[in-house]
Amino acid sequence: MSEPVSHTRLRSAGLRRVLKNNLFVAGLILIAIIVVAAAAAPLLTTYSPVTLDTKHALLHPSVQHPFGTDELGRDVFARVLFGARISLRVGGLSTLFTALLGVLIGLLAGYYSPVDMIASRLVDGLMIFPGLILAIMLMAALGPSESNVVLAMTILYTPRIIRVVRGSVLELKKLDFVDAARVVGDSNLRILFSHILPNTYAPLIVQVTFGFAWAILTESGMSFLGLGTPPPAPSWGNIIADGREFIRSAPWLMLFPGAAISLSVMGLNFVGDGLRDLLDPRLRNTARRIGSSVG
Amino acid sequence: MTGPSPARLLDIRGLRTHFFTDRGVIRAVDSVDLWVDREEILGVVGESGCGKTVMARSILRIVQKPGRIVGGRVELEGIDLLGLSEAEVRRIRGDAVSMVFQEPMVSLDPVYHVGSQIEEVLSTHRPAMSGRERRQRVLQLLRMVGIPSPEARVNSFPHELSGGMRQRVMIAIALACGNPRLLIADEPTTALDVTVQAQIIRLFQKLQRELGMSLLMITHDLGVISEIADRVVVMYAGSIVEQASVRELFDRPLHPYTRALLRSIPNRDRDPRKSRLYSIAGSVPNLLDLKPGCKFFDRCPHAMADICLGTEPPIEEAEPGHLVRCRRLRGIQAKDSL
Amino acid sequence: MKVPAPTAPFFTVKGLKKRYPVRTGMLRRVSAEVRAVDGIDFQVSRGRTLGIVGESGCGKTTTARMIVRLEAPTEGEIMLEELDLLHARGEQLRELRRRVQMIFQDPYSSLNPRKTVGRIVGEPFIVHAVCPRRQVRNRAAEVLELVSMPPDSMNRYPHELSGGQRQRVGIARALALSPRLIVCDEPISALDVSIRSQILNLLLELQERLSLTYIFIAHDLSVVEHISDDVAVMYLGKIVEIAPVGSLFDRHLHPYTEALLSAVPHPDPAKRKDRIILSGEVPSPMNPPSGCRFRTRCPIAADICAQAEPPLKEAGATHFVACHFRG
Repeated sequence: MSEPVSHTRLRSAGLRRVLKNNLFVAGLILIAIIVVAAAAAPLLTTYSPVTLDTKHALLHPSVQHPFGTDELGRDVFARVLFGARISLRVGGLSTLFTALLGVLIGLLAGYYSPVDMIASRLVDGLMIFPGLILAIMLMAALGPSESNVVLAMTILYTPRIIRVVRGSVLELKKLDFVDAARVVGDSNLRILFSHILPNTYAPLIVQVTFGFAWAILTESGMSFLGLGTPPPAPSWGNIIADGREFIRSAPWLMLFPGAAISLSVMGLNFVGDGLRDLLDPRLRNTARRIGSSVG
Repeated sequence: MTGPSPARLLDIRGLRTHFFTDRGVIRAVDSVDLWVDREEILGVVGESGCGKTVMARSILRIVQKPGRIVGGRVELEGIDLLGLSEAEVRRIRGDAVSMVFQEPMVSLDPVYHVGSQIEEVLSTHRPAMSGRERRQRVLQLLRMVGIPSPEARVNSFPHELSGGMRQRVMIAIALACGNPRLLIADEPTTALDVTVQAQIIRLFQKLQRELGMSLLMITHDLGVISEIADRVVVMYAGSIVEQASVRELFDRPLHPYTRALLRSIPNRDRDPRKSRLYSIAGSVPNLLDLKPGCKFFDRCPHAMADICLGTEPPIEEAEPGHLVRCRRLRGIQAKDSL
Repeated sequence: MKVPAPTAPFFTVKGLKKRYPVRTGMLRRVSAEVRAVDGIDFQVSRGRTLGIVGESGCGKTTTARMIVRLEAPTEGEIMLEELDLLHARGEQLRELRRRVQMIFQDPYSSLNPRKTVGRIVGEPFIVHAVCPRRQVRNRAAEVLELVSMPPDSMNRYPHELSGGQRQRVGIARALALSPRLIVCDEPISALDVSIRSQILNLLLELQERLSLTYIFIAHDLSVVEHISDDVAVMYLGKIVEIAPVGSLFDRHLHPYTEALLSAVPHPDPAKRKDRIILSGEVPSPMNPPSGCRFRTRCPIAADICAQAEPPLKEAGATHFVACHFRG
């Protein structure tokens, strides 16, 4: 009996495709470096990110201080490394909460129109505000602390996830297998979580990856404006803010944290793009698609 | 196969179109020879994956990536279309050789009304026509394809029209330039209701007669073929397996695939109601995984490994005008049953 | 003279209607109604197949969906044995689901791409708690065997299967709970021609083995003729003719049935009859013609056809037609 493409063949084809995508691999490597650097921070430097040492202020980058020192004598390399922890933690937590909240509301909104009416209006309302303005308003109301930053960013990004998930659900609802589940006797809840949800993972993962990049960028931006993670925590945004006055005399103060932000965001964007290509249902349907265009 | 003949409008020799995917090469059109005479209707019949659509697209050189024409000749009145420049082919597309695609809902642009979509062909190929002449021609075309109240319909959007109407618009677009030598129709009746299908078949017959053009009709529906075609070509997994006049094919099908296909369609005179129908084992083969030899081997009730495998059987003239690609013909013909 | 014992109506539909309101304008007022199904009646006996044919907009798909409760009818009655299909709730609704199932048209969208075959076919057992969890896999394997799918297919995903195999999985899912009635919505139209007969044979076999009753919706008349015991022809939301299959195909009465049958292209050129080509297109179900709905395209329409709607009358043994002039 002539069998169609087997499971293992598709998997290895998928893997080959992944690895062919150079940007995706580059992105993964970048992220991996940053995560490892953040995790191993104490091993990679003997300096503390917060201890003052005014005698060694504003030193050029050297072997001893690879990224130089700032105006208070703190080793910038150490600050950037520990700053990575903040970015990943704050970015990661807010992305996690965003995903959980966004998926829940998105699922319900896509499936039940009364929920949709309320949720869509809320989403539209929130998305009217430019992100940073809303962030400023929220932080002004909540007060400066790391957990408030996480809260504010969650509120800011959840609408986007809701939209993506809701869109998926609306499309999936129309497919026959959802009808089939109803005819079998599945409860609505079961249909929603067991049938529809797993099919939303693809666009969701992509959006969440981009959301992580956004979170890192936004946290830095908020900290730069003085509304984010409160100093002396070495958030990358804080480091840049501190270095503002010395842009001519000690450009390394802004350069290195700036590069760190750029590389993280870039890495995540590459990964997101790569995931989008990889998870494109096109891949799954290739055999059938070629079949129908050949036929 | 004889040399070029003046009666032949289209002469395809050894056409090969392959798809280069990351899982391997799919030989979608695997050395196909076929021809269409002047004012003839040729039917191309086959299932999914047989290559009929890719072959049609190869004639017009509009094969989609990752597909590519890798060899052969496609001669239109003696001139090899595959050797022309892109600019020269563009002049032929939509004019001398035209195509009506599957699924009019997807093939028509949803944001333009149908009048402007027809006009677009005219402005491309007949730049000398004035705006007024174009609009007149559009109305004439709509009338020709049997659309009632063309003045009103000209400004309709595709989604406002029924399936049958949309198909007629597609035909109007294909015939806009007025001098088609060859019209290729790819599954033009598949998405339609059976009564509308009958109307469209009639329309094709009428247009073919009036315009004196040749028609290449691609479909999986043997019934439609039998109604409209003069000659039929049966394709399977990229190769032509049988070729004959319509009468010949239905009266005396010779290739096991054709015979199995005809046998498996419920026929009230032959199959008692609710009886088990003849069915072909297996399914359409995976084109990435073909064994060298006859492509129908896995599903053929007469297959014999030492005869059928190894090299692909050549296509031979079993009877005058009746070509079959099968080495076991003599062995099979001896029996009456399948 | 022997009179065969009458088979009691196993499945009955009475006065079934489905109307969709069309809302327009800022205030979303109901400006018109789409009368998708406008009052149909029929019966099916146990173990028999009723074929329903008709073209786009005739209402056959809507009817199918109402029978399996995917849509709620606007009016009417549907009874399966003693179970009222329309008003069943709670436990009765669960019972309904066990007795009435559906096979879908598109093998590509009717299976959840994210679930393995084993989970797709096992789900009905889990949802209805028919057996303990650890036995679900065995039960699923049993059902798959009924449709000639090997047990190792349980670990496959739909995209690894061919169209025919997917359709078998869909059939297995429908059979899991041992239903009495299965609604088949164009189960073979989306399949390659060379495997349609495989699936048809499977359906016929299953009907025999399991005493299934089928409501078979299709547009391919030769298939309907082969598999049905009785056939109903629908047009614009109404049944215009309903009869045992032999009577319908050999002694059809309604002009639409005649046109429909003559429009079918026949693979054998020698057997083709003269075509009756209908003029025009199917009218919109929002605004059906007054009186007899078919009159705008009917070759024998007369004045009375616009004034009065012909009722479905008995014209022969269980052969009903809705026409002023025929039967």
